[in-house]
Amino acid sequence: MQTPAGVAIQDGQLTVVNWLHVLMNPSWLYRLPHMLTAAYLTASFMVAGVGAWYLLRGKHQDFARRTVALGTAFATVLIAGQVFIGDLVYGTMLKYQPSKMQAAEGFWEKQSQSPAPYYWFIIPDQKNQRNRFAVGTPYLGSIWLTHSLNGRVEGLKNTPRELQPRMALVFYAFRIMYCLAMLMFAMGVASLWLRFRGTLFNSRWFLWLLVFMTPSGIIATLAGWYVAETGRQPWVIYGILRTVDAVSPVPSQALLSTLIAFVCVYAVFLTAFLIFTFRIIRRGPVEAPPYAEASGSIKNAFRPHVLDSPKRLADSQFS
Amino acid sequence: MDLPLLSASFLAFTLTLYVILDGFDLGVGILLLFQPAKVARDHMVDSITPTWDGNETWIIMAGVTLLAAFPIAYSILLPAFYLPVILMLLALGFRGVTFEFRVQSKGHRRAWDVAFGVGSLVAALMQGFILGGLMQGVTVQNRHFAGSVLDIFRPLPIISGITLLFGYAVLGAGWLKLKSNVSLQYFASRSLRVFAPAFAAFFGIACIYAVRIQPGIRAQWASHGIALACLVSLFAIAAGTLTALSGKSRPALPFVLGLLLFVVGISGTALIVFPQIVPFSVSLWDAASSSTSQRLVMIGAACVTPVVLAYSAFAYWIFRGKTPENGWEA
Repeated sequence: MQTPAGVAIQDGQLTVVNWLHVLMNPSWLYRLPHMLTAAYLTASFMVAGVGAWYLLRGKHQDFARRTVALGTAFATVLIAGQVFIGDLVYGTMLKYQPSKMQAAEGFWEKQSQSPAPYYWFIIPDQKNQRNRFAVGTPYLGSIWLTHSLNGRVEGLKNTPRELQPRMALVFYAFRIMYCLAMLMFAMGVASLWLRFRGTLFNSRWFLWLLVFMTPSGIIATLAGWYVAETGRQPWVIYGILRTVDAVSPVPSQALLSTLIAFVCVYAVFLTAFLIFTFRIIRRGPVEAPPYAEASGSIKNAFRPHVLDSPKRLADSQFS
Repeated sequence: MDLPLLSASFLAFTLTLYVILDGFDLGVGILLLFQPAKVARDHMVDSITPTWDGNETWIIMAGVTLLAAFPIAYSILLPAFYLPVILMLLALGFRGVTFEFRVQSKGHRRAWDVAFGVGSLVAALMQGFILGGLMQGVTVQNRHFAGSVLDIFRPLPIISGITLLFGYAVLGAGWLKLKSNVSLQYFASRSLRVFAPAFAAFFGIACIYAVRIQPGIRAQWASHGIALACLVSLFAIAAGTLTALSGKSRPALPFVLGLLLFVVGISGTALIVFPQIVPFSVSLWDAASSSTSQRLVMIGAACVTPVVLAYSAFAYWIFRGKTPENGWEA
């Protein structure tokens, strides 16, 4: 969808010519690890955040030390990799979907001024193709984006107006993901330093930061998806099929009503999920089973009686 | 080799497995609404917990096969059945989360059980609506859906929705009879006594009404009259036996008879729809994708299906026999 390959239009219909090319399209090799690493990062920060909360409360010390140590260790390794993979994804997108990255950096003019600033906050004016207001760090844009002191960055005006994505959505989604990634990187470096000094478990400021970073992976992943999906508009299959042309014959009232239904139902799910998750976190790890069901070997999995172990029975709160 | 026919057979296979397998666990969910005792409800949910997720993989397989092998049929049927499909997905979502949430909930387990039951009920109803919508025919012009999304709320889909609801309840009751302990046997028998005749009656009404309103079905009766008549008689005999024996049969018999009812019903449906894929306007060869896509679908199916079958069989094997009184985990 982002970098379609292996397809051709034959008598007005999009047909697959080569399935291997469809699967091995230009961006999959970077997107797949990018998303996988994001998922593991999300889990690492969740685990570390819950552990840090226990340490701050002085509860479940053993368990909390293990989770904080494990979570920060994984996060440190993963974020280092993720910054690198993210840069590769950025490069691919710059090549295949330049309009996405033009919008993500907040530049309008075909060539930015030199040296280019790195924008942190802008109020884009899509109609007049300019920023009404922009705050940035001078030189940083040139350094980060062109790896030189005075390089210029291409802006959204390089893309014909009717094929431009909405700059505000792409810019802010990208900023959120990018800033969270930098925060994660800083946390990773800090955890290494504290680990080296042996004060990882009693630096309260760091533990508090970990608690605040608990949902960071989820937010960054969502923001990343916003960059990917709003940034490729107005295309649904990039360069081939526009979103307006892909609309189904279902009338808009029907779509609106089901969208409202989805939002309501998932709001209920999310609320219940959060309530139960917080309850489980508050209850702590004491009641978790000491070992996985049917642990040991695959042979045990074939024996139903393993599930009836008295130890689990005693631990289980639902018996 | 006739690839579209092969893909269509695979589609029929996955849909049959879905209806039969998810049918009984949706049925248990529906019966949950009629069970006042909390302990009994826990026991009912325990009887389907290990296998329900495996059962639901088949509808995903069916959806993917329809999309990849018959893209034109997909682009007609999905808009035509947009509302029931979305409602079904929401209902299945409710059911899916309730499996996890009801155990966590302390004070509100009853509410979650109602959500579970209503989710099952709505999902069953909507699947019946879709079946009825297929039988009443889909308005197609120039390979595009040309009807209204509200066409589905006509008498035949409604009758067929209620029919499938009763049918799933019969399967669910048969499953409980097979898997549950003494305390639920009476409940299961009573459910069978109510739902088996209701299912048969509504099935009859749906068949007669469908023949009246849809000339395409009359045409299929004219060409496959004997086969369809045999299926209807088989259905009647099985339903009669099920109703008569519901109280005092061997534990496996009601479930087997329920499965028989569904296999007969599905065979009849297939006989009426074939060789169309969008009844009664687009044949499966007209809706088929290119042969490279068909081949990819079949290769994928050949790799994945044995794994899913093995996983399901493994789950059913491990959790064979009666459901323990305190659930599988205790």
